[in-house]
Amino acid sequence: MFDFTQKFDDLSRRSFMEYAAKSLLGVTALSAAPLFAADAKAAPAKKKAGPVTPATADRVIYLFMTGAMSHLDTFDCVGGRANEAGTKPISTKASGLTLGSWLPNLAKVADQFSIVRSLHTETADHEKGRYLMRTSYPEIASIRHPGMGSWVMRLQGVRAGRSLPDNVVINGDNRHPGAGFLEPIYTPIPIGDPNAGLQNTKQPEYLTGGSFRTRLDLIDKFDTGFRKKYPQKQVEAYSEFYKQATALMQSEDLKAFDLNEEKKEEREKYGMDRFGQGCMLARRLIENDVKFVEVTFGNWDMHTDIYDKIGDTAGNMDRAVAALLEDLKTRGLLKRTMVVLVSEFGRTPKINQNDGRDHHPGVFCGLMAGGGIRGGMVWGTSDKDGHSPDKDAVTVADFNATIAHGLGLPLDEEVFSRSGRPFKVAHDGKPVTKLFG
Amino acid sequence: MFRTACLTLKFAALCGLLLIATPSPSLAQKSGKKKPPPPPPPPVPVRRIVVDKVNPEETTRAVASAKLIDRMINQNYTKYKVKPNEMTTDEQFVRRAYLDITGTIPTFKQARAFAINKGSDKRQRLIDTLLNTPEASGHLYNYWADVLRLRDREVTNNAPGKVYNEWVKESLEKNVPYDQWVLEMLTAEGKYLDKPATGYLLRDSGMPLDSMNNTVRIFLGTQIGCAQCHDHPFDKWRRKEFYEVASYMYGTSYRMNAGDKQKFGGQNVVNKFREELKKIDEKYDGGGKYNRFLIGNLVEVSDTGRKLILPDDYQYDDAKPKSAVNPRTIFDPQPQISPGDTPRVVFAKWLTSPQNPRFAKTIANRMWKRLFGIGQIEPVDDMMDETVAENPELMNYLTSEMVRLKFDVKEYLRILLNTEAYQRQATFAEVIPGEEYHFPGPILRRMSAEQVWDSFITLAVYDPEQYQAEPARVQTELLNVDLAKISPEEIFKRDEELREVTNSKHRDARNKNYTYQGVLLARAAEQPAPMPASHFLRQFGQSDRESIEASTTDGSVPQVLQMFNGTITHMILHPKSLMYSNVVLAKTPAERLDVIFLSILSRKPTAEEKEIAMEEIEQHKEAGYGNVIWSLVNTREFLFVQ
Repeated sequence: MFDFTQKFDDLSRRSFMEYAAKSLLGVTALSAAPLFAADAKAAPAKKKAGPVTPATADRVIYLFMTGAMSHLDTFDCVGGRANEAGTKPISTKASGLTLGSWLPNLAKVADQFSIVRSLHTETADHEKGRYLMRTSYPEIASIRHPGMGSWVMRLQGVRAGRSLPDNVVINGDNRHPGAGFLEPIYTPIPIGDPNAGLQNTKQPEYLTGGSFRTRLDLIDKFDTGFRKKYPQKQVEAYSEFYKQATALMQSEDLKAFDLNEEKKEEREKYGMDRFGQGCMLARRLIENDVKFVEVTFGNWDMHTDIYDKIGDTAGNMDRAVAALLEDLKTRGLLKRTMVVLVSEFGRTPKINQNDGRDHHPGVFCGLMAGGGIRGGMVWGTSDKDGHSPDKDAVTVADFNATIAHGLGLPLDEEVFSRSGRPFKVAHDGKPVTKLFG
Repeated sequence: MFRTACLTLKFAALCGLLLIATPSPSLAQKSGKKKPPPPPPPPVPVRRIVVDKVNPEETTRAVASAKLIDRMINQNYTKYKVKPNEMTTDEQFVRRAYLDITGTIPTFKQARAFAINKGSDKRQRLIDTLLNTPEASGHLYNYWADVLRLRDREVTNNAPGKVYNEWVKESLEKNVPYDQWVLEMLTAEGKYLDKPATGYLLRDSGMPLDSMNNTVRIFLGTQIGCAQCHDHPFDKWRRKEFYEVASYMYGTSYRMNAGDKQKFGGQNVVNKFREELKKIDEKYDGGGKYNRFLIGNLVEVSDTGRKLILPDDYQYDDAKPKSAVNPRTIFDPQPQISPGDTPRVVFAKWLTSPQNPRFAKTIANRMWKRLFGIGQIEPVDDMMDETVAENPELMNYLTSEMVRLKFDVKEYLRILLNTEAYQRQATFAEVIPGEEYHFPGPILRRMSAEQVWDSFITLAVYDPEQYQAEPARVQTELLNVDLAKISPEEIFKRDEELREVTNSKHRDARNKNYTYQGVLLARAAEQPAPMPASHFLRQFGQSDRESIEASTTDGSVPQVLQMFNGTITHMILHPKSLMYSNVVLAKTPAERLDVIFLSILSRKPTAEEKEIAMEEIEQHKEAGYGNVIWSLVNTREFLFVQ
């Protein structure tokens, strides 16, 4: 029997790492199966057609305002519209760019970001809108499309020798498309609560490296029969998760997930709410070279009493995003990190009988910053009531193509689902190249 | 409960058995010091649970119906040249039946009892026994909680969700016929705290158009939401039709007017109380502190007769913007609205009628999917006119059975559970969405988050059925007041009482024997809903209750970390867990292995597995048992429903 009081020393850690690298738990056993083999060779992606411009961004922080953010009260508040109701425009550091009065902090850093005011879509259903925004494809029953983070991994390839994931979703909602039809290796790691970070990464103290190894071996042995019997993606997906979990447990970089490493006053700059802390965690992960981090922020579905609610919600967003942009800039990260903020659609220009605004896919806004995006620019306008695009309309796919363009992803490359259907990173979108410069 | 006393002396020698593989015991330990006797714990109010039982007289009919279903399925096997799967072994069946009916794996004793039972009708009997348990209602409740987006905190601003959620749970326990249950939700009127069924409409308070969209989707399996803004791109619905059907419910009001002259004498009753309470409560600043009384008691569903008009941007030629809309349902037969009728009630009766072409069909298909993992029609909530079921004759029969049974969902489930098709092994090969599936058996499914959680509870906790969530009445009896009559002093007093009954003292008294390292060891249906995003249940895919059927069974890295290192996994190795006790009660290593395998996988180990496990035990002695247990709960066989 081994000595269970022994600490997990460097030697056992090293041997453990080797062990994890051998990727047991089904992965070795499956190496003959096409499931993972094809993807291990995925990098670099084969270019099918069309020249790819060099990347201006290496990483993305994608901020998703779920529930549908009112465009007229935030980023499309231009003044002089009857419908702007309880929100006044304020001038910003970028000349000619106004914001809703709920966004004083963002106004101070408006020279760092650009706004698209002519986004539009057709669906007014939250889930369908979110799905479209994250995948560039309408939701249908027969397939699940991958989200942007999984596309990035798929097209750029899985990096060897890294223990941190490249795709993380913080505060995500349940219906996130994840890796869609792509292989499980591209699945984002969900972080339910940024304050808790990545949980359960420590083995209980009574275990030594040796006994953990024994246990992993045992799982593998007991699991063989079942895996052979049911050669299904949902079953095999867990092999990948076992492997990643085992590697993560031994990662030297786990502190990236731990907000306790930050000073209190730094954390407070972002706001102590879930979204603020989520943004800070995103920054920590980006700093550790994680490629794609999504932070979700709800509460925007304001059908009733919008002006009682928007102050808090927009206030949290304003504080967090402004702090994030400042922080990234100070650390020299903004240059190669693209920050994107968007929502599934906008809200009706007209205030309804319950003093709220309803769903409005006709026109809405997105924000982009860093990673080669110009500062202080407005692309596209909405019409006089803020009802439809007036100039330079941008589709959801165009918007996503712009992100992909910044990352230097091949927009034309087709990736095939298991049923043999071809899909592209931003569907049929054309990037708004004028936003770069 | 998670046993409070350790095992008897007789087994004390064995008590150290798994210690090496267990967390240090951290449950309350006796200290030597004498303390004054603690004050008696506050009483723990409970809810009386009445579970409707299956009718033994219907057995013959149910079995005959199951046979007929099998015949129709067999016809498709022939037609499509499908080889049906082998029948399940008893071991496979007992596990699946428990999971599908009660939402958890069987206990060691239950699995063993079924294995040694020699009765020829033992499957049929087990189905009936399980359908009659409160756990079966809890499992069905988890399903509807996902569909109806049930939240404890609030159904709408300042109205606690629990009252409505408990009403849903009780309706399922009583097996209220499905059509009546739905009718009750759609037609409920009155104050929320008196009429909890109003919670259904209140969940979409202030959003009458979305509410109609959700209602049609949930109960008629049809999506008309696209047509809220424009003609449906894939289905036939025109925007005008959306407004026509939405107009039935558009007159619904969700709140009493605080300035109602008749009720409150004209002065805004909320403002009045706020002013008066400021005089009584020194710390009160006139803000939201008393809102659950002042606003909560205004929450009410009633009908105003308000008419829906087309929006300003109405873009089609079939009507003018801002013109009034006449109610019209999306399917025939059209109901008649007579003078004096409430359009909402007319609509609800039309929706729940056996003549409605999609109402019975939708529930029949939903329940089919619950047992087979895939619907006769997929997706279950997006039927179109041209949608064809996998087996149209069977779908029609299932629909007609639902009508014949007068929407007795329990009896319907009983029929499906008795089919051969259900009792076949899960299909080995992957079923790709969109491809045809002719039901050679159920498909392989990962357990739902609630099933994984409840199975862990089954492994560790002695009597989980004894734990009950706090009944809603504890709070509603204090909350429910008549704002026209009550004095501000009484509100002040009740608010203090409410804070007292919701404080940790009361919670601790209820949870005392069911808590391990701060985690409440109650079944999912008795837990607060939804759980926080970092909880086990949410990691495994429990719905956030924000959108309809948002639960998932996808895997993730945090799940695996939870299984490897989380509190819940190690709890089953704790000396006070049921698992531990069952293992040490067995005498020989071979018997212990049987206990371990039967407990976790509901089957005995194979010769090969026995060899692997024995080797482990020989090598690591007592810790070896812990390692075997830990490894088995981490297998996919544990996580999937075969």
